[in-house]
Amino acid sequence: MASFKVTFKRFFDNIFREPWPEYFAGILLGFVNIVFYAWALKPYTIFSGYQNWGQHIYSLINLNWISGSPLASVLEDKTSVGIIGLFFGASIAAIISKEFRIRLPSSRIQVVEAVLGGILMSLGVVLSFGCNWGGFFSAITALSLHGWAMFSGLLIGGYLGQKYIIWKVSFATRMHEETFKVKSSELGGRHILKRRLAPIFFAIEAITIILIMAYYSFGPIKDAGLYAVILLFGIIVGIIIQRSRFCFTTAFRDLFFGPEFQRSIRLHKGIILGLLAGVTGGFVLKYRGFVEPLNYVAPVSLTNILGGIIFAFGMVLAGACASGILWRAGEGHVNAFITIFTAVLAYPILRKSFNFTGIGFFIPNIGWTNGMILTYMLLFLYLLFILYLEGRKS
Amino acid sequence: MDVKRLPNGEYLLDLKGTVCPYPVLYTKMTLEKLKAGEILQVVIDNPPSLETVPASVKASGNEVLEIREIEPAVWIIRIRRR
Repeated sequence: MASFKVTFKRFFDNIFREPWPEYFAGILLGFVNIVFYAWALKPYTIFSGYQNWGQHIYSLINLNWISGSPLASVLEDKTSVGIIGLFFGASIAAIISKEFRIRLPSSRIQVVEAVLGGILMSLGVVLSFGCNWGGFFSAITALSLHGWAMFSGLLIGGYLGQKYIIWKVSFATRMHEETFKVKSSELGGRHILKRRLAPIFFAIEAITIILIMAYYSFGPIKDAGLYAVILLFGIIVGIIIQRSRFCFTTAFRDLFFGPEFQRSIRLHKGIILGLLAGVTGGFVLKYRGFVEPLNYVAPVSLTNILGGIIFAFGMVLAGACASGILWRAGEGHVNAFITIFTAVLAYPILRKSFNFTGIGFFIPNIGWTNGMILTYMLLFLYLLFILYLEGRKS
Repeated sequence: MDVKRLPNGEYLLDLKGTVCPYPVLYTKMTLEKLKAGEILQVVIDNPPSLETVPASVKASGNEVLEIREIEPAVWIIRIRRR
């Protein structure tokens, strides 16, 4: 049986030790996104889950006149259940991969940036009608033009964010010539929550998932199976994102002149493959009438581009995008919790305050075949653009 | 970020708590200030940096001597300036 042990360990290491390639994760995310769409009859999105959470918080303190009242409970809102799953999936993947740790912010500036990032991302989502999922990845999958509008804004915002970071770090390093005695035990840093905590978190999370599933099985919920599977999809998305480190922030921040340029290029290739899988499925679902053609087609105008710029700058400040903050929070980054909390409090208010409408554009309005050709051409241009940037640098 | 000199002459850069792209940037900037042959220890706890920091160190022509996990999810990367 030794060989079984060896093969099992090799398989386990492939999944939970080595990071997954970005293109593989991209295809998986595109595929999961479309199966999710077919299942939930809405694409995988994130920020309306924060809206649901925030509305519950404001309702508790009778402030729902500034946020709006929640339409459903936390466990009966498709988006909310999906992102709860993402958090748990990423966290469990991090624990199994031995990458979980409670990480405190390194400076006060980082905390301020986490709060500002949360507010800017929320504002960007309002303007773009979605985050990097609902406004971009899932929007393009839903064949809505607003996804492409936000995409152009994300490119500009990522560039500006990188400018800010380079400016900030240019005067932030201080060399000490005197000698410091640093014990190796000190390098572990703040001694709260060290060893043995990961298994406790693992147990808490596993029990929570089981309790939620039990609630769906035995609770008074109509259509509980729907939400149980959505939770499962969320967990899968979380595992994929954590294991591949699928960071939309790095993708858009480092694309033009960043220090993590190579990774950014690999991530964009992953995103393109994910979109290719997504739009192909999107055509099938909408052409066959499995979902309403105009489902998730949001208004598009210049404000979507502006929203993309603001959102991207916000995610660079926070260090993670809408899905990234959930993944990072699951890994134990306290800063990510701060950003989530800020977004949960800020987004419902901003959404309610700027409730503007506009005209959406469903790409197959120009004809199904034309729409298909146009979408694939846009994806091809996106790929050429990435390959051009890659070639220019090397 | 503070770069501290250790009794054995090596430098220490503690980047725990920072996320992308800071570990790569601070490591790069610190290495530029060191003389050839000097050794820098970078402490990180951000998993993606475990890939990106060594990759950027190698790309800039410096040498990664060792990557060691000093406690769960905290790593030291020892780098020699070339």
